[in-house]
Amino acid sequence: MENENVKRAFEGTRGVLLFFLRFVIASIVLYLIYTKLGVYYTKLVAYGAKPLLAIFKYRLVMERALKVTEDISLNPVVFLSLVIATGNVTLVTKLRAALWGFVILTAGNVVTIFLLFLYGYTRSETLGTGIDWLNLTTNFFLPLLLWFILLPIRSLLPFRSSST
Amino acid sequence: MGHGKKPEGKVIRTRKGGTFRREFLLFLILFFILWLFSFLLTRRFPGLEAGLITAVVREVAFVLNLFGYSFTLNEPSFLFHTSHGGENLVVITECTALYTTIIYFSIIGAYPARISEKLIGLLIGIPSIHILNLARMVFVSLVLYHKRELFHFFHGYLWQVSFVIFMLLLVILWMGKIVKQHRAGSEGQQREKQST
Repeated sequence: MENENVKRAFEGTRGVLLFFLRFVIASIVLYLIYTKLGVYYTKLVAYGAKPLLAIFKYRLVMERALKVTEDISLNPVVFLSLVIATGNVTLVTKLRAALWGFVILTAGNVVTIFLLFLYGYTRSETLGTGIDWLNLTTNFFLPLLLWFILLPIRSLLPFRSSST
Repeated sequence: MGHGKKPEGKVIRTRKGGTFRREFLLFLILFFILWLFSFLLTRRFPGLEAGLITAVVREVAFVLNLFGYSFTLNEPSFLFHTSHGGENLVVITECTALYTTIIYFSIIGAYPARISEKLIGLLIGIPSIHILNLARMVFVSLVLYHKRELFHFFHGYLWQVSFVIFMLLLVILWMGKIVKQHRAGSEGQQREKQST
């Protein structure tokens, strides 16, 4: 049912344009908030990576971790903007999706910071390539994937079975 | 009476959901294979990245020259002669939109559509991403010339947010206008065949 409602929200060029307009507004507002309060988020990610590094008996340099996190962890802004911009979805569904997506993306960012420090200590070329790939995936694809999975928007991307 | 109908509906829903899940899972597997393989290819042939960086640097230089901006080019670096002094801009692989192009290519490649539909998607999408990236690079350069303090804001925002939104727009348009249209056409033909 909700799937059909979302489909209606995206119907026609106007529906798609409205979605993108809402997305741009939401992303600018969230990005502005991030520039002010993002330091708390970067601290959260850095502190998350600390125990993982401790398992391997490595130390987290907080200053460096904060700088790197700031550069690589904008994905919650993208994801939350997508959730906010999606029309015809109940607030409860949106909140649930936002929470799950935020947790998953933050976990992804924690793993990325952990691996980056591991790379800094080990200097493994393979690990370096893997981190680059993981970082690009969590920043450019994961927000879209989570948006698609966590919100009822199957009808938006017409897989054969959903169009029958 | 009601008892007789309930299981039937349940069976259909499960079967449909199952097919969707299978198809979506296949899409994801194919996407990650294509994305990883293409990414590793760029690492195997670093000349590709270098060539693309050179191309982007020359295009940005061309546009800035057109607008009459003063700079010294020492590939892949720009030294902008601004009113508040010299500003350095180094073009790296991330500035070429190579990876976003590969992700777009992998989405189109993995999605269940005809080869011709995929080719149309790539022919429209890849040049569009390249042009958007050029616009982004020129815009970021102009910010360095005129409002240096806003550089960090625009660089961060435009790098990620605008690319995700543009890629999504391209994918939605491709799936909605090209793939769906063909699919609707072929389904109509099938129905016609069945009725005759």
